[in-house]
Amino acid sequence: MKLVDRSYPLPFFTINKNHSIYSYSKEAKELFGEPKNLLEILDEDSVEKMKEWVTPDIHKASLEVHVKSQQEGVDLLTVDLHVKWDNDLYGEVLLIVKDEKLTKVTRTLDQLRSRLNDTNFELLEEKEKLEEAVEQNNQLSAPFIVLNDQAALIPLFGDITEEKMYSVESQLLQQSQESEVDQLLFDFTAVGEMQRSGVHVLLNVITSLVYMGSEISFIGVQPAQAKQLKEINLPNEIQFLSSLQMALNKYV
Amino acid sequence: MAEHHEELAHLFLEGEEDEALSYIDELLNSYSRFYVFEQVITQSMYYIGDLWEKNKISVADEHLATAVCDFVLSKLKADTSGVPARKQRKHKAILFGVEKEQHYLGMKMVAETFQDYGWRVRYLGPNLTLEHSLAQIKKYKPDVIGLSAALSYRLPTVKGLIQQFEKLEWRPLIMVGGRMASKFDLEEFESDRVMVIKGLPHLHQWFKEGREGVINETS
Repeated sequence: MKLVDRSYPLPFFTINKNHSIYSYSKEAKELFGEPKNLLEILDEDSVEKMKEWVTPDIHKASLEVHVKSQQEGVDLLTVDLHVKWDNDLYGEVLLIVKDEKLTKVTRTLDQLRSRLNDTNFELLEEKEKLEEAVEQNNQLSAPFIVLNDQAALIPLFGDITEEKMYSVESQLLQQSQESEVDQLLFDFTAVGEMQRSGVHVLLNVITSLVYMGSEISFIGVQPAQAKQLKEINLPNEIQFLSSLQMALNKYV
Repeated sequence: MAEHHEELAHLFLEGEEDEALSYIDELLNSYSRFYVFEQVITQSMYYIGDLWEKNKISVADEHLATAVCDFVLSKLKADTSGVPARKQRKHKAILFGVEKEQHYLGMKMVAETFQDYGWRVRYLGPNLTLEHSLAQIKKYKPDVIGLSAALSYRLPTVKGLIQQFEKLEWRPLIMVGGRMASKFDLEEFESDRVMVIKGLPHLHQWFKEGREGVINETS
């Protein structure tokens, strides 16, 4: 193996068919040190490619390979490898490192991508905050107000949705058990739209409460809501009262 | 007829993002998301790697294909409505590619998978330094930290990260994934706190059955 002066200033090697290096140029030494075999400077995933394409069976070839970099902070360099064989024992290999511009474009793209990702991230955080706010809001839409040792008032607020009913389910069951009141007054005065799936979950909650021994009254059901409630099988135990005043007179 | 993943790979390589999207949309009519991610999209990117090895395409082509694939994945994500809020289990995961690692498409699909299972996910992207990841992790307190690496040069980095994350007092599960995990035997990393994930099917298995021999604390 010897250092030779080539007429062109590029990394250059002469090798045999086993990729052992006979000679190399000054530029090759600067970039890759003094390897004994050309395979040594390759990234492991390029070894097979080199073995397949850099062989005397193929008289001339050009291909891309990745080589390990000696530079700080860079793992791999992409190079164009050109090879020509005179005979089995003597191949000339020229390595040209890819244009810096490609690296620059790649890096800029990476930066753009990570900026998009950051934005995406911020949006995601806001979305999750919003979801939490909605969840909190949902939980506050069926407060459990104990009136005396017999009765509690549960005014429902806003639309009856599946999501909302699921959020209030466990707290209602728990509070009714803890408070030990028998009479639960559900006030529908402030209820807007009733979604079918929401009503369904509400029915489950009511049924559970009945099983737990509570007596349920629905107050202030509006005509449209009454129609919807009729469509589902409400437990027979439920009483209906037209106004909160009536309910209060009766139970308080 | 060419295989699905080969057809998709050619759409990626030609930069046909709209065609690629409608191609995948069509597949989603007859196949599950899991199948499409694992058997079509992932395989198409492997196929592109093979084409490079066969000297049929250049690194520049690969970059283009990656960008198109990234676009397609982001678009697919935006179209899914996600899990209803009541099913949102409050588990959290942070996912990122280790320092210098530029491969990130797999991670993106992993993030999707976590979301499909109702997790909250922070996907921090590739090439993240320890300081950055640690700062985010301490703030977010995830149940799972997923780190990904493709090349064997990252092994020391991965090792260092694991050591740092094992010190976290809320004891998150550390998942090591990426091509490195499927290609090399990383058994030495495994412990009750560290799990090596050898690909999307393995991850799905974890979600469904938990860890072999270990009770899945998060299920």
